[in-house]
Amino acid sequence: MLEKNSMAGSLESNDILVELFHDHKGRSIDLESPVKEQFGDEIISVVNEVLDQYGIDDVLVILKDKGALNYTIKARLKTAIARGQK
Amino acid sequence: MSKTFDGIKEYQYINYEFSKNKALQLDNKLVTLEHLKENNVFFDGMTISFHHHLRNGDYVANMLFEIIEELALKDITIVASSIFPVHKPLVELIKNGNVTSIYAAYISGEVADCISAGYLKNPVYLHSHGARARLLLNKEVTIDLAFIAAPSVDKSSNINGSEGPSSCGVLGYAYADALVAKTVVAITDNIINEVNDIEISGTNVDYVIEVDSIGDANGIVSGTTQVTKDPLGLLIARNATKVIEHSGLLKDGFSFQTGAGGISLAVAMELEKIMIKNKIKGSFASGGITAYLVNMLEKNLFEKLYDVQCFDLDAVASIKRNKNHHKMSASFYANPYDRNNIVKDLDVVILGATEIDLDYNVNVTTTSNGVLMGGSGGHSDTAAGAKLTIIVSKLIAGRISVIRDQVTTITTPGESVDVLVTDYGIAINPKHQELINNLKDNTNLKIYTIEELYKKALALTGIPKQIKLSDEIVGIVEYRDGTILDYIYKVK
Amino acid sequence: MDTYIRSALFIPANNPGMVQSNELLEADAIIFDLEDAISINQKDSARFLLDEAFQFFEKTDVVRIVRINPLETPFFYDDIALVKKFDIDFIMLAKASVESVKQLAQELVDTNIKIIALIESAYAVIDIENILKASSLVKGILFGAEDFALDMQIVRTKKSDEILVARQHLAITCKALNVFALDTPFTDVEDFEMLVADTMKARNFGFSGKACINPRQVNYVNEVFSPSLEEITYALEVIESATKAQLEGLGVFSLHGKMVDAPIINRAKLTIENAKKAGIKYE
Repeated sequence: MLEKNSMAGSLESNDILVELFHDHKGRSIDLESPVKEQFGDEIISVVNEVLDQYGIDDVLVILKDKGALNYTIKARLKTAIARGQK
Repeated sequence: MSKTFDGIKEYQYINYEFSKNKALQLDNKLVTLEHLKENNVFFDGMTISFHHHLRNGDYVANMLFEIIEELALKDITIVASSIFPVHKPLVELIKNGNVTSIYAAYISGEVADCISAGYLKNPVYLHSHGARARLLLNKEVTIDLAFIAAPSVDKSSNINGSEGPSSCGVLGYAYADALVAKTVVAITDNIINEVNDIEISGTNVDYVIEVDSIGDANGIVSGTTQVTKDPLGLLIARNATKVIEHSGLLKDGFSFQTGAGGISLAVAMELEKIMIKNKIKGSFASGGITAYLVNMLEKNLFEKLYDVQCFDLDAVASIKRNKNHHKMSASFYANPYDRNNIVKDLDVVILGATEIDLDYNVNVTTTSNGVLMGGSGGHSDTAAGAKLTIIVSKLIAGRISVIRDQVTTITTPGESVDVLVTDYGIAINPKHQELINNLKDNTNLKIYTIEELYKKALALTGIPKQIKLSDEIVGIVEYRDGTILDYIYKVK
Repeated sequence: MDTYIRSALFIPANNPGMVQSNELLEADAIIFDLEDAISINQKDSARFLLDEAFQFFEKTDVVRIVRINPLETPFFYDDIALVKKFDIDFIMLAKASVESVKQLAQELVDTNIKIIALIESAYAVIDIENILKASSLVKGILFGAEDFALDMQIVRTKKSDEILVARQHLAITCKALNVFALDTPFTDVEDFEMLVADTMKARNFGFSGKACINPRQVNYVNEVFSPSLEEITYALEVIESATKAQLEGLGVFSLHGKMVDAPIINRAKLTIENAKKAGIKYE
């Protein structure tokens, strides 16, 4: 479970900025992305998969995407989760 | 209504003959804008043309828009060679119905967004540079008034683009207008005794208007980019040059054109190295001219430059002083009905793409979201004319693959496109089996089918959801000969 | 020694743009940097990114090197744990010493991962022989002249006279102990003329490759370290003679009065492979 708010990634090209807010009931995912129409659903699905993996059901996820590929999204999210757990 | 495109044809040359015989003397023609307004030069429903050679430093087109607004003219058709962000005042005129039709080879900035949003009453007409000459010279469009920004006008009302404080080099996209328009108005900030080069003869000119300034010199040469510093862009340029080297075309007499994008310019740089190393003397380089091509001319790598528009100050300076740097009209450049058209003599052209599909069709008109952001310019002309058409592009940018199943809008048909060079590898149109074998046998270049490259892209990005475009047509994309290639749809 | 690395390009492991296009940059080896390129509070982020990247991207011909943090930092063991999950060719050990090499080698006992020792202090330069002998997993070194100069309290110059003896000492020791030596990167990323001169110097001292800190340096470095036509011709002769000898059932044979055995034949094959990589055409 998340103990505190956390953040990972950046707004550089090919990256994604992930912010997690732990004091939140249920899962909410807010996505800002230049490819929202083309890949929005996929990005959210990737995020949900990772949250499932870590058993996190109460979190607000704010994503500011700059065209990150899936592996980057997973990495940044996992980093933020680890930082939120310490 | 125009026919649908059904393949690239052989076109019959037309013997163009135009003769206006207006008196040359400037005195009788020198008037004010007020005078024109008061004398019914402007009226509802008219067709007005202008050129884009002053690019984002242009003051003249906006003077025209002010007049249209002031006189509350309605149903005006604008025939512009290109439209840039500087032409923003046109947006209000479109929204208010003053301007209801537009023809252009390239549209960017807020005017493009406005058209994509559906404000223009009639669908915008997008054509190539060569096709604009055809539209005018073949009298498919009647120009009531040509509003020509003229860097220098002399006492015989002759016009020259390469002299004056707002010099733009060549006025290639204004020649046809001067020949066919019912009324020709030249707007200048530099009246002199005698121009040192007559681009547009005073025999075509009806009125001359003198203003303080026709443009901002800094903005006039805003069309060029620098050679890319991105190592992947440089890699693409190196590999594109290797393709040229193995095409059999790189020998004495070689002719070449390249775009003004960062990677395209890098190809010119790489080519220069090879041509110097192998002591190759080319016949000509053409198109929009930049410092890089001027450099190659001065190093004697080409005998001539054929210039239809100057992209930077070096080109402007060179065209003035170098007799081998030639001015040319849009018709001479790329009109398929002009027997002298230069593009048919091109060996190699380097072009960009927003999208390319599995049939090698290329889109430089809209984004993947269907928004208007450009247009053919010389793209479909040079692709058709050149023996070897090479598209240079990164495979993926911002998670979007340049390769698609089908392009959102067809600007240039695949049958005129030969090679795609990306950072992940090269795809060659299957009709060039010999080139494919040559490159595979003699180089380390990664040669794939376009389907294979597409798969690579999708493996990285994932499969994108199809963007649904609306049904409402806001634009028509025509091919060089006037047949319809595709439509542009309203963006929600 | 089987690996032939002309160019080894450093990329920051926390930079997705560079990580995902690494194999396109034409370097023979990529050094995914977890050390100096990554600030302390992003070490975790870099590790997660590499973890996901190595899962997502297939291995290609490009040699994969990961530069890990020194033994004396809190990151050493976590970095090693990450690398061990994947098919990585080398770990580059920053601030290598006999002690840290031994520790690292112990961790790598049941893997195929080899070690490149980063020699970047006065002591490491004089202790190079012991460092190389500290483990048979050490297959090569990289000379880190910037940190070396800091340690020596001397000024680094483009002309590089101040590192002349260190370079030669390292190159000679590596040759004697049959490990490869990679030269220090050239830090002025806009000066390609000096880059080429500096790289040629390195080659002439006996380095077999050089590190790059900017992708635009890679092509220049590759060209300097690519086999010459003479080397290629000799390699072709070796291979042809070796094929003949094999048919005749001979293990070793003589060419131009010199004995040719397995290492020389392997080296010849590598030369031809690299000639191909360099795009050099030959009969």
